[in-house]
Amino acid sequence: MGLCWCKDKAPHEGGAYAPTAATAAASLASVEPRVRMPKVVDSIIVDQLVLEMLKLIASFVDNDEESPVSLVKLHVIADKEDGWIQVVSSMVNVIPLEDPFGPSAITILFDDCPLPSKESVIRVTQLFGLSSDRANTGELNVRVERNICVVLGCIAEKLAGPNSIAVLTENTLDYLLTFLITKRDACIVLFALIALEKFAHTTENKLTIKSRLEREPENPLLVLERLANNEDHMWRQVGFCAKWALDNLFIIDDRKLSYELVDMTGINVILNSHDVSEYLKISCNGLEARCDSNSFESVRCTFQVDDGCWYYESVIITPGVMQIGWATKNSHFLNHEGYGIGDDLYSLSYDGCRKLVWYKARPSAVAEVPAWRPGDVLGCLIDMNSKEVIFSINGLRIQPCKEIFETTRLGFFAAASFMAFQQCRFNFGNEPFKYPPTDRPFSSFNDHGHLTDEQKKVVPRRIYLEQLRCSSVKEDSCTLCFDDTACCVLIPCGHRGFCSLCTSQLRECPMCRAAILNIRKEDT
Amino acid sequence: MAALPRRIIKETQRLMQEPVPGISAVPSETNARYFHVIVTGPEDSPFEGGLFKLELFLPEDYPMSAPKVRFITKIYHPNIDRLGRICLDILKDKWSPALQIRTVLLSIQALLSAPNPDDPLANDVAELWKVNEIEAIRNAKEWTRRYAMDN
Repeated sequence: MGLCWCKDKAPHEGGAYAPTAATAAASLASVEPRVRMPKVVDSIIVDQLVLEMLKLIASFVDNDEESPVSLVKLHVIADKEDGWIQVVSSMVNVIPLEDPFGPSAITILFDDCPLPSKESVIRVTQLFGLSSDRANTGELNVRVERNICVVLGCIAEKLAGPNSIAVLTENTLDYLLTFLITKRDACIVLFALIALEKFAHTTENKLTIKSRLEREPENPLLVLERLANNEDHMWRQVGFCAKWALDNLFIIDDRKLSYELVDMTGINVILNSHDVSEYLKISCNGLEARCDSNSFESVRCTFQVDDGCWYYESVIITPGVMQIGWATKNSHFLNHEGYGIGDDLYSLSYDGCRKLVWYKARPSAVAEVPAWRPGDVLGCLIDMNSKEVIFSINGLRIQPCKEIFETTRLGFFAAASFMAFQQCRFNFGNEPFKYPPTDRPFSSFNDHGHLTDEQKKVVPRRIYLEQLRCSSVKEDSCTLCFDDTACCVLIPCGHRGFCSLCTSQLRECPMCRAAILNIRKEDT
Repeated sequence: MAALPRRIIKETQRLMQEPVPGISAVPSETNARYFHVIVTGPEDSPFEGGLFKLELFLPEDYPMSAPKVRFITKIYHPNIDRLGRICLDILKDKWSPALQIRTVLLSIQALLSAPNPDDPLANDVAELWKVNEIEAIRNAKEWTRRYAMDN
């Protein structure tokens, strides 16, 4: 997807920001003064770097490209504790509300910075003066409060464990909960909710938050989850996240889980909850998906197409980076490396935020349409007769893409990848299409798909994992996967205990590293 | 979830039931492939007394490919860079599917006891470790005190 810096290569220090890099080495021996807050760099410069980085993210598309200089500089500054505090303050102050990359830029920067000490994090929260009073102020600076909530979420995620408990003080919790209760501004409520979700990764926090929520006359999440079908795209996201939190994190005993209540009549194709990377959130009807983690999360639908002409639509809920299109089962979800749909030979996608068609992790720019906005409808047409894929925005078509058919002929699924804080809703044909193709006959998945009642259940992941945990392992199972029966002996070393599937993926013996020249099957 | 292999479930259960001394590895509640790890600095090493946080992630084709591990707590070590990436052969070309999460974490603990400046990832650290080991160890102790002792 082109937003994954510094994962496999060391950033260039020194050249990019020589003064700090040089002093960084010098400061190893001498301990920095910790009481006052010395300015590492002029804050105006840091502000500028943050804005520069934001602009660069929008144009940065190559996974193998070097990190932009401004990002490297920010990392060098944030490498020192005081510098880290400065970078955080800058992000909070200057990242604009309307920039589709804003919140994800904060997570990207956090992800590649060394972790701050607990002390620095607590100093930051004190610097912000978090409290219910702050959240109740008459004149609310929506941008700043939204950014603070995003930052708190990042901190909670990065410091999961005892430090996360230390950061979630009474005041911090008051601050976040006040937004949920007063419902003052949808985008602050959304990120306050996401921050609470991330704090709840630590069990003790989860219990604290849950009991605070329950102390309210009505649990604020129950109020917010009613917004899940709201017309307003921002409130809709709040509703989605509240519902997800109630199903997965803050469980209320007498509340039925969403999947037990949802009416699935007439829905014959959904997003496949067993063919998805691990952090993607899927709605209880299986047609809406959202990512709130800093990885590039992907999913395929349940229905495969091999010939003919097919069409589906997705309604854009958030304006940021999503790569939506088509993929076969050969396409891998490398969410942590930043690879998703459109990043290999077996998938093709459109990112309407940056206006790029993706194939083999290479983008080609699209000029004929504007960037997508919430409410826009992306049309995805695959025609295996004329061997082309055609994307459209609100009915306006972009150039057909033909390249993928050079490597792949059949076995396509609707598929999509999501950057942090992105969400969209799919229509596989259970509702009338907004912009159906008029130049050729086509089919919709929903008219041809079939799901059993069991397959229609989008069960919360924790329940699915619990079921797996209860399953047992047989005596004679493969020592590598524990799934299949061990039936292979490796020749010449003679080591055994592996199944056929695992053995087929090996070149040397897992036990002694001897090359495998032959495989003998044992009778079982 | 791309079907979670039984291997991961069973390895996790064993880690919980028979933990490795000096190491805690707890799977994330929301992602069974992601572990929050804490390694205790080994005795008689410059890291003694520190608690080092790491993240460990099992990629889609685990155990056919190695877990991805990195230090989250800052550490002054020639084989660990400033982003916490670790230079360790079994995490790269010497990976074998017969190795496990527990063996990986034990190897990392061993790396703390025996830094190897001849196969460096953090070049400036390795350089100092080679030319002035006493000062390097002093730095390592100082970093341990500053970054690994406040939790």
